[in-house]
Amino acid sequence: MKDLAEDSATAERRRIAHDLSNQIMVVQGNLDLLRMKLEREERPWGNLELASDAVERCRVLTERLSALCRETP
Amino acid sequence: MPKIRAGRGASVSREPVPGQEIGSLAGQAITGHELCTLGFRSWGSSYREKRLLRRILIVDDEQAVLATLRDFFTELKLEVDCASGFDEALSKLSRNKYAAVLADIQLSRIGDTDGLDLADFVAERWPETPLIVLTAYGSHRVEREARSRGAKFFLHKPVRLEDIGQIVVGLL
Repeated sequence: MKDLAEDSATAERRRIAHDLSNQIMVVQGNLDLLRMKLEREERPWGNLELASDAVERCRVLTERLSALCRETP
Repeated sequence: MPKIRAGRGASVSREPVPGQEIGSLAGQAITGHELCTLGFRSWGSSYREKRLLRRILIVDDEQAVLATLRDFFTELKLEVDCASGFDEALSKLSRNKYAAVLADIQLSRIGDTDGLDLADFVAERWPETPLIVLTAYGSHRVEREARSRGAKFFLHKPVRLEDIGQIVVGLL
């Protein structure tokens, strides 16, 4: 029973790591695109929105990770 | 940041100068400014060699990643198709010829298969199309598996756009 719980926690941590990696890539990528477009004096609201949404998803993911750490020894 | 092996034509003879046109792709001017602002200082000359519009396919089940990569490669004057799952990717591969395919191997949350199966299909049916695998599950076992199934490059997320760009442009 304990092994099953640990497997489940490991799988959940892996999913969180996967999702965090995706969101970090979105933040970094859109910051690069923002810099480039701002230098051309464009108004890249779409990139700002994508980066902002990704940061919010990172916040939710870290909350899930913290909860998981509290639940599992 | 991952160690990148430059592809053909990715070497440089001079650095791009901001604001100065360094060449054209599909009839559109590309300036050193565009390359410099993205940090592409070491491979600007490869752009001068590009005369034809090239189309790439990006496969990822995360919409925000797809949107970001589409925007980036469109900025590089490439034509970009996107697919969010295995079946959509196969359908687009059947209808179009691509200079490269970028695929996240973790597609199982949408379809009942994954990017490694996509690698098998690409290797079998479109062997001339290079496959670049992106993954957020970056174990050595998965990398070996992907390479053995035909992936030309293997990148671990999160990866900087300029690094993916360097690889793709090297393949064109």
